[in-house]
Amino acid sequence: MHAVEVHQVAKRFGATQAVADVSFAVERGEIFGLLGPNGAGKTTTIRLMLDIFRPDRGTVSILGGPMTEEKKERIGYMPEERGLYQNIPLERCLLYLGTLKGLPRAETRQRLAGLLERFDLAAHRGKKVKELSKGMQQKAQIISTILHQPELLIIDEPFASLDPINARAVKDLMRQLRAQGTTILMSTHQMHQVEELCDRIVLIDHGRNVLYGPLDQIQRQYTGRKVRVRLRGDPPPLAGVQQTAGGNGMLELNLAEGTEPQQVLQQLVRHQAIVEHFEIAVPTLDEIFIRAVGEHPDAV
Amino acid sequence: MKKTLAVMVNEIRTSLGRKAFVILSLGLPLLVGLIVLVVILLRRDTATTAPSETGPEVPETTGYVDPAGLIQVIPSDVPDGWLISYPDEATAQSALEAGEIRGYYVVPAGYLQSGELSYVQLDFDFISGNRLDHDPMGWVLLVNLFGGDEAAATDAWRPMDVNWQQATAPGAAGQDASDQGWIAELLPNLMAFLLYMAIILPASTLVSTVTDEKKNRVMEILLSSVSPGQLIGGKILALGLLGLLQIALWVAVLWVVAHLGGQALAIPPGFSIPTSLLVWCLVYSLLGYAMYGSQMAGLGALAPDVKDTSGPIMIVLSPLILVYMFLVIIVSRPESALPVALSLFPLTSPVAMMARMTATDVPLWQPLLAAALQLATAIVIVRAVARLFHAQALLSGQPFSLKTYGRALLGRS
Repeated sequence: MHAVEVHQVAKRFGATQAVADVSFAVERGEIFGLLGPNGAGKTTTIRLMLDIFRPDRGTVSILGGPMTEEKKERIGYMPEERGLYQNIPLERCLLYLGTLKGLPRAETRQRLAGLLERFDLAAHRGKKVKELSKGMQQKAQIISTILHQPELLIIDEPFASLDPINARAVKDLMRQLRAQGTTILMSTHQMHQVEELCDRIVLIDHGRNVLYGPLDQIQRQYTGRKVRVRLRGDPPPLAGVQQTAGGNGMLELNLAEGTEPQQVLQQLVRHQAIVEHFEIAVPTLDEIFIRAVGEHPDAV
Repeated sequence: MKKTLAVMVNEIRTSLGRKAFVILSLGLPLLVGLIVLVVILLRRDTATTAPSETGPEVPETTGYVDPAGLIQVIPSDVPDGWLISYPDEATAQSALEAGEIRGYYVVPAGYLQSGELSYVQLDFDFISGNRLDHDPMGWVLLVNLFGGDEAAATDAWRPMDVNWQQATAPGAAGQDASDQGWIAELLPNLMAFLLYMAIILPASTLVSTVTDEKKNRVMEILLSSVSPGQLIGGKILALGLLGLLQIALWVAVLWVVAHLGGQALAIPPGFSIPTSLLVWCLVYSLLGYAMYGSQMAGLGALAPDVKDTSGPIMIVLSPLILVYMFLVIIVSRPESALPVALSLFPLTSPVAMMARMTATDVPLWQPLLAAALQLATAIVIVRAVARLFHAQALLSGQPFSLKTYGRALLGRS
């Protein structure tokens, strides 16, 4: 059973088609990336998943069926627009948000003490939220999201406002939660974080699926269009190579449609070039993102 | 229900953390109550003697000079040494300057013709000067005018021996306002004020609690834990309870005034606030809060910021403001057409009917009809406003106007 199943959902606000046709499923215990450019429909999709909005069309199944009040207590959600009560002490704010997740007050207090220690906020528990730095508020937001030990964690831009040390701490936390069986759906623009953490992704644009599947499989799909070569001497003329770029003696060859890396290697050998390094370049997710979105400019 | 209660508890704590709310809703009645108590205690302490059965209270030592030769006897209830006779003004003046007496009366030779006498004291006492009680000297003169017959003088002093009895409620105290002194005259205004505060304060606070959560961007997190109904329900309950607490405090203050004020506050004997009036006060405050609080919550649901709501709030509250403008007429002529109309029209009736019921004897059908109309109106408004409490409205940052609100209430947006 999937933790989340989104099937052909659509949502329109007035004249704006926020989501046109999005489908994906999130496996239990994985870190899943929901990616897309600004305005692609990511936040609306998340709100549809959480039953904050009702879809005009399509279905959402979460933790085995439609959203219920009981299920809300098994889900942790950190929206892109961070928000905490600014004029009350941090501890009271987090206790209240924990209570709304159905936790008994004493248990909330106990768990909160541990998390405040872990995120170096214990000394600030009595301060009003507005007195905390942006990074501290971000950490407090993460605490409020995981305080009730959710089965499913939905996080929009988890690394925004975090310095490298805290970003690492959050990454470690996400890995730890995954190891404990928590399913995590993460929406972010930071592709290197996705490459580091996610098992599978869906890329949406203009409210529709563009890419969907395991990250390594998607990377393989886009592999083979570029090779990295270091030669002793000048490169010979090569057929089927559209563009070359390089630096530090390394050439990056972008292959034309229909040209395989092996054909390039054969040409180099035929020209008796001295090849010191030959590598089929795996594209970064950034490159995949740009190419995939570029290939679907009018996805709607 | 558990989450609604959690929201309610948090809302109560948050509201009690708002200085303006605490000062206006809880601090004000407590302060008024404290002042009343202090006044009562001070006045009790400064009273010198228990009230006499026949004549007035007797102040400290006073002298008199009687060229008219009128004062032949000192009434038996005047304590020895209180009134000292002096042969002439010079002697009395010396005694005054020596501090032996607080002042002296001069009963001139033509007193019987003019009825005028004078009182001499050293300095005007700003504390006691206004309250100087000349009745004891009047009592002395009266007894002597009756040739020393204290019984006849007593009859003349108090020609009627009124036996106070509590009648069934025409108005608040069972008697005409003129018989009840300042308290009965002020009570309609007090009750109107109480209702006004009990409706407006919690209702206005409701707007800011909803818009604050939008402004702080907590709304989306809350909506992932609770439904819009649970969220708004908890808030409405919390502020309704605080409104009731506010009324309870004001009623306690009125109770203190009515039961402990007594002579110190010139409260006539037998004055009381009928329980039925307090019950109506409770009913109207709840119905008024239902009508206005739900509208305020609706404003909060649509407005991105509390600043955007000030104009629409004034318009929504204008019926209550209208009642205040006509309060003088409502209290002075409670049976005339306008006060009756205002006390039956649902949006004005909570305050107007309470003011009328305190000022006069209102036929029972009128408060019953007013309550029924308020209930019907509250149901219509709550149903219309409930449509606004959906996630899309609560998460929207769209500009807000009264037109937007009106269209949303009518289900056109």
